[in-house]
Amino acid sequence: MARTSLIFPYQWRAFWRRALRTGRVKFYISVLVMLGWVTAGALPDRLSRAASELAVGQTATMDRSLLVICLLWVVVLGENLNVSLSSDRLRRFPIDQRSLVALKLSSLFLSPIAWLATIVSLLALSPFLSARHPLLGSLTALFFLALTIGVGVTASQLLEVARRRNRLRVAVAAVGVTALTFALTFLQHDASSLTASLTAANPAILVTTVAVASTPAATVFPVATLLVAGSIVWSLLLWSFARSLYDETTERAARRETSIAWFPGRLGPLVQKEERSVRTVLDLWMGLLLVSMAAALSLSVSLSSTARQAVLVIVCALIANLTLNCLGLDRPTGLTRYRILPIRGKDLLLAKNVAVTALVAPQLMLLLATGAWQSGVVQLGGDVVVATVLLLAHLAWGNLVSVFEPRRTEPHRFASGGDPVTVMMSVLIGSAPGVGVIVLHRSDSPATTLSIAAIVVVTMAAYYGSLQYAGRSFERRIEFISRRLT
Amino acid sequence: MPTDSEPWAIDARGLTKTFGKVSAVRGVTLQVPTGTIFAFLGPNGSGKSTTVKLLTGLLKPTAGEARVSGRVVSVEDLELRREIGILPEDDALFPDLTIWEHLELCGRLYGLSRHETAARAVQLLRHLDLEQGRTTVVEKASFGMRKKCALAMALLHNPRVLFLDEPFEGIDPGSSRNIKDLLLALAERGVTVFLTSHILEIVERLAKRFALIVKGEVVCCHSVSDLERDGTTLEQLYLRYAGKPEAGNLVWLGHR
Repeated sequence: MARTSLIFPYQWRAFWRRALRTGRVKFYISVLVMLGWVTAGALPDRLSRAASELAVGQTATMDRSLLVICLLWVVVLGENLNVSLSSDRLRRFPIDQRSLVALKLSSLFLSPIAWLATIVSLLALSPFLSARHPLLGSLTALFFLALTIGVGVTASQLLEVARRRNRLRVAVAAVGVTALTFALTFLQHDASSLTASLTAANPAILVTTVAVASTPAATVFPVATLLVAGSIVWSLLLWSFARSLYDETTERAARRETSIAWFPGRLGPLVQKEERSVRTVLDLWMGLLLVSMAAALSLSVSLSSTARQAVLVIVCALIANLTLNCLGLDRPTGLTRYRILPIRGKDLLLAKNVAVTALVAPQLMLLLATGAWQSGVVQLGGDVVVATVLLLAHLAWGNLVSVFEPRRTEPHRFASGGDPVTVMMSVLIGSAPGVGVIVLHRSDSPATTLSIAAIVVVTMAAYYGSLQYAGRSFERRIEFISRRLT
Repeated sequence: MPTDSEPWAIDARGLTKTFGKVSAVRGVTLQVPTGTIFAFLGPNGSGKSTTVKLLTGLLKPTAGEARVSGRVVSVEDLELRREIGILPEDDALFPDLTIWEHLELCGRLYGLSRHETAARAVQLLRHLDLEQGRTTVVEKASFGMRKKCALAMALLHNPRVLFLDEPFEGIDPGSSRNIKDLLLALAERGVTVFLTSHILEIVERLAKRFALIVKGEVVCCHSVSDLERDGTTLEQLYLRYAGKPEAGNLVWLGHR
């Protein structure tokens, strides 16, 4: 551990040097302001409610709060830290594996977002002081948070190893399909049973049960369960860490990955290359999960056209981080290569846009197909228009942000679209034409068709204009983009 | 030749590494006596760097065993890391630290005092003509500067066995000369140098022994003096075993 404390100051220095160079400080400030503001507004009321509930042995608010905190930590762990002193580069020095793990875990707390998450987590645990077992409850809650972090780190480590990643994907898909089948079965018969089952499956219940237990014996099972889970997670964390160091790495595996489709024309090979790299970003898989759920749901429940179109809006909003940062997966050497090749900036952006579309289109088509099956071909036409304008608007705005505010994205992580204000504004701008079409679609005005046609034409023109302007700007700003992506 | 009391500096037997279905290294067996400069040659992608990683404990072998400085190579053996110095293929530097910070951190991790680290670092930077760039952040340093920094880090703790993967790549002639002189002096002092290089002239001048690896297998292992005695050049031997890629009919080149 002495090695960890020796390295950490260098890690800290390198982290802030990079944050300053790549403009990430602005991102941190805006996230802190926004999350801080939301927390300050919502937390006191929730805390006092949770405290009063715990005092009388009720746990509903605290159960939900703990789950929210877990999700907050998932976001923190999903943040692309890309630390300078990585374990992979440090392993040639005489440092034992546990010290490397300790450094990795302590490096999670370099980011100001992690500081905020820590403060919020600690504040959120304060209601446990009003519970029947304040000390045991607080300690169990802290242990639970550590467990959440451990699970997140283990998952991220497994994602770094090509062979394990494929198994993880299969496992997640299997769990997802089982859960979906289970939920659908319940939903058809008894929706309240489903809610009860979901509540019972919330692992935070183990913590609150300990805090409000009426007898010491009642704390034994949840504490033992958490301890067993803790030892399993810790072993998995160490095992996955070793695998991420010594197994086949992402980079080597990436060289063997093949494109899922063939693209014609001069830019075809470039689109294939982009498609291979975009496929590694987790945002797409989240969209796929949502679409699969919506499609499966529509098999048992009749979804209204508005609900289905709303899912289209959400799926396109989910890929906003990707469209807003279409250069994020490139590296300075790659950008130099683009400059050497006889292609214009607009060609490059077009290739990237086609690659994203090729991956998002099947998801949208799945929704469109289930819509057509339920509501007929006429409805399909409306849905196609909504999907088209949504995608074009997101790509049009995304091209501009990608060139003017580029951010590095790591494969097998969530894409980083920028600070929350930019992302929210972009989601609004990207969704506006699609929402406009949905609203017009529901109105009985005689000018509806004309208005929808106007939106389609304007969106297409905006996309064409963005491609031209962002393409030219890319050529002028390539040095700046290069610096940002280091 | 080494005796029982003085083992080989490097002794690899049947080292094998497979990545999925790809065999990167197949049954590599070689011995390097202490105080020798040993060159490990081979075409691109033949398994040189993977072998270096296996010999330094940066990768676990699928089969086989290696001993370095009498110790069985394992990924967990920290004592072995203290015995060896590594210049990796990709230099493995930390992009946001300066060159000086690299040496400072490296010295401390090898257990040198702050004072000793600074004294050695100053001398190494001077020898490698890197004094001017000591405050340069590696991200902004040139390829040659990064290479020199990584080499200085490999030497800083005074290792007994040095593994240098392409040490002369991107190095200017003046510094290259200095490095060659230094490696020869180190070998005379009993330090073993295991280097990979594509520059056969340098290998002929520096190395006592060499091995050639092709498609993951060691196809020959000779001493340089044997070559001189046979009147063969290293290039001729290399081309005999590794072959020359088909030149093809590039008649279209130059005709527009």
